[in-house]
Amino acid sequence: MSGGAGRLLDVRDVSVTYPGHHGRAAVCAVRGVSLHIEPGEVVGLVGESGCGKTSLGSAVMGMLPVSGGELVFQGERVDRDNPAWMRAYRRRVQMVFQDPMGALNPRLTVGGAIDEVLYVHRTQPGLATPAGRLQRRRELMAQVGMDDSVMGGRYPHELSGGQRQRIGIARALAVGPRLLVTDEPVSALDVSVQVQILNLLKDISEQLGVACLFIAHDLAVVRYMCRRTYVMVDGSIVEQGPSDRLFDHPAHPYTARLIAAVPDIARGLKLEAGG
Amino acid sequence: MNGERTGAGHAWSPASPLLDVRNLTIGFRADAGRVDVVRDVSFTIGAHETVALVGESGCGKSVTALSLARLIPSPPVSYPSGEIRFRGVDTLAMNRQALRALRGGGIGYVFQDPATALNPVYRIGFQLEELLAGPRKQRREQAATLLETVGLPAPRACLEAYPHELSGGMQQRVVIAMAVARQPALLVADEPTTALDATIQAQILALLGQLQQTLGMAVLLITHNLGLVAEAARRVNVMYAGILVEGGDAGTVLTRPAHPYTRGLLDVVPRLQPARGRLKGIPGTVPVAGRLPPGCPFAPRCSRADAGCRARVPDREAVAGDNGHHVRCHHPLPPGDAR
Repeated sequence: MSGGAGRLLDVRDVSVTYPGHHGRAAVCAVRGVSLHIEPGEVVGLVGESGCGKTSLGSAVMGMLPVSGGELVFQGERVDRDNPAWMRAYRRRVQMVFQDPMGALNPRLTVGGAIDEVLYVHRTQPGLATPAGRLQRRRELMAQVGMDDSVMGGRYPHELSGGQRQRIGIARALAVGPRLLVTDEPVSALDVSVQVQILNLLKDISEQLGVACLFIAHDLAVVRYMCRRTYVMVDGSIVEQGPSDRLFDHPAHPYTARLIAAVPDIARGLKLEAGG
Repeated sequence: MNGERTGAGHAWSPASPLLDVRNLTIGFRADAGRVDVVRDVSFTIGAHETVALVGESGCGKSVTALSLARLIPSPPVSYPSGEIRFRGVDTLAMNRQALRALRGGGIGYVFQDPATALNPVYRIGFQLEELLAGPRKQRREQAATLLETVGLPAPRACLEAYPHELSGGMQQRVVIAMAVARQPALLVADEPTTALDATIQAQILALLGQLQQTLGMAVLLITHNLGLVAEAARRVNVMYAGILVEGGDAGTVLTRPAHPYTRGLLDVVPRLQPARGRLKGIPGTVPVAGRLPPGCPFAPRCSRADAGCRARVPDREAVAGDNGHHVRCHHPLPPGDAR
């Protein structure tokens, strides 16, 4: 791996440690992880629960301090101690959460939830006036396949899980980020709706050139979404590479075990025919 | 283990199905009268057989499962029509005493989240011994044996542990031990591996298969995961919005589905195999019970639907040429048709 000048995000040897309390030892959730994301690239991060993938995602977002290593975004070091810089950083990096119901304020309408984000960033071009923000809101709703005139006045509890996640994505896109960190964006959704959201994320990434750190435990979903994938165990990356090679010819025994453990229709039926 | 089988001795022959659910409708009391969340569902499970019940959240699969041993209080739940015959006896007509014998001894349950199935303030040993009979020392022995049966490495130490001291996989093993403690003839496993990691999921699935062999149980596997169905079940029933839309041999249903919903489910699930290009989603969303369309509940999302579909719920019909394969659809997919 050379240079990295054109890279969107460079995670260099990053560790995340949760301090111990009341005599308990500190927990090292991420141990010296390095990964990189090119502009517009959708990169997968898979691992089982507790492996540290969400901690790493939070560190990338600047929500957790890193205890070692550094994060470099578009050539600039992520500086959590500089509030002005962080504010600008959050315009470039946004997050989509697992549970869209938990991520939305139940007392705000869908339109209000998007307005809120736009108002926070009202110093940005085009967002200074209410009229400008309304126009941007309509644009965003259309981008995630919803009609603002119909849905804008509804509350989160009136929406289906898929619709809620669309709003979550619209909010993340509101300020034109270059990178989305999506942490298990479809695992809380019904299977028949999951693909709608996955395709939406794919389209948005292609049309807007937004890169994505796609965190998930579902290997099949990661293969569908990502051309490149990192596999994480116990806070470390054990394998990385193009998804096709990684899933067809896993090099690390853990990756192989993970793949073998996924219940699969084709394999299941073959097994049954055999015995 | 002193599992005396209860409920035997009725006019029921081992040749007939262990469980026979006929035209079952399950309603919940609501502000505006009754909401039927399960409508006219029929299926059977033979002794020692593994049958899967597949559907998305809210389709009525868990309510169906809980109703088998009448685990939901009525009211609010009511059974306006149908019967649930377990070893030939209608459980809907059972009195409290008979139900008590049925629960655990006839039908055992394993639920999705082992952390909530166990009581956090009691040790594992106490919770296991609670459902066994006999002198204390003997129950202790039995509890240890049970934990050994479900593959826990240090059963004695585990008896002394509190649930939070065990991992999710170990907790689920304890829950399974509790479910099989009275040697039920039918084990109902409601999303038994959904809350667990992939590698643990495979271990728990293997354990269930192995216990089924050694204890001679039938298993009703409730899941939304078609891969799991292919790996574990011989027969499968697919539910959508309270209706059993398709059923039959797992291999047949998963390779030659007759219902557009089953086809759709198969098409939307990302697979581990090399990418097949862009997946088509099923348009729209799952309908909410109580706000169902009048005819076939899938009609609003179905590309084959016409005015007839929107007017009348289809009847259950056999699929020609496929033994035991049945479908509820006005316009089933022709056999061998990929789309």
